[in-house]
Amino acid sequence: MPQECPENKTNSYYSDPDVRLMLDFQQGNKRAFEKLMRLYFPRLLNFIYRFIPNRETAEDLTQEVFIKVYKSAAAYIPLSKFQTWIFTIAKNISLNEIRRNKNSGLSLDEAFGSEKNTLKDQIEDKTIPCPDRNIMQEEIASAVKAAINSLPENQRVAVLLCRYEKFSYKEIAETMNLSVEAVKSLLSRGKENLKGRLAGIIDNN
Amino acid sequence: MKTNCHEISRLIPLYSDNGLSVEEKQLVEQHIAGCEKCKQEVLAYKKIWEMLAGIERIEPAPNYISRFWTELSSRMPWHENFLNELKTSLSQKRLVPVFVTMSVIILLSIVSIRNYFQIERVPAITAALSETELEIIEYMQLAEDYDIVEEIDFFEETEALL
Repeated sequence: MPQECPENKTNSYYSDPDVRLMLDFQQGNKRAFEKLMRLYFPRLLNFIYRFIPNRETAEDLTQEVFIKVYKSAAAYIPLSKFQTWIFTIAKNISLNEIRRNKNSGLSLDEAFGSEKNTLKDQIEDKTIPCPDRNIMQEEIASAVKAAINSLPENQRVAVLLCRYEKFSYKEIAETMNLSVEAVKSLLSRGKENLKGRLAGIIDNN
Repeated sequence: MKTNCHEISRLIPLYSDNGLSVEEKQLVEQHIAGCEKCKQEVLAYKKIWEMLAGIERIEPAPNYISRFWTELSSRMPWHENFLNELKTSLSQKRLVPVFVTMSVIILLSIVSIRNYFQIERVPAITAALSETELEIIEYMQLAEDYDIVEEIDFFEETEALL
């Protein structure tokens, strides 16, 4: 009878196919790493881009995430699902970048429109008598981006992981190093804030 | 017992992404069936959740994987790069015959060089020997040859007997 791998008894994360890929890479399989890149690079790029709305910076930071993963491969021990682990790295890198830019006085939020051009101004723009549907869609999208961007960091991370990455509350909790109850509270407050910011759009639709 | 709006308002934000337990979900559903205000709240949160999906996605640059390797190698010292390349090459099974052939060639070269130097040293060693020593060596060679001849004779005789 084949013997069960001792790893599986102690660590359920070994059954995660992405964890297996990371362990293959740890053994020197470069293709396993490239497969992980193909799986996660586009997702992480968009996750980071929603924090830092500058394409070039988002690409560089996503690359930075994979450089970190590459360098930590030798010491890698699966203590969570792979996606939770890599999104934690991406979250930390994004927040560090935001703090670094705040300290240097640079704004990364310009692409989403400045605060002067508020949602109310966009919706109540009387210079456009009959707005084209596409323009309206673009305005809604930009208002949504601005609303997400206005959320406090923790609420933003929770909302992005829940809405776009379809993370469960437990996975969000692991990524953010919080309890599930704290995540629920963050999401509730985050959604309340979004509702407050986007109230104009809801009323107009 | 009928739940009040204040209690339900706490649960409504999580209702839109199925974040509530079965019991909590039932409470919300029972309540909004008879409360228009809270029903509108549920719809508003649902709408916001749907609006968030409208943000466009960006695609990475087509060469993002090769860009990554270039960036990585530019940050690593040359010896680490060399070792990594070697490791990668060894892990690719199709390169095994190449490595085996190279190893055989290297081994043969080492043996040939060693023999060449040994042959080169023979005249010098012979020059250092006295005549008596040279004679002894000659006799030893003759004796070896004689043994061989004897063995051949033995086998031939045995064959003839058979």
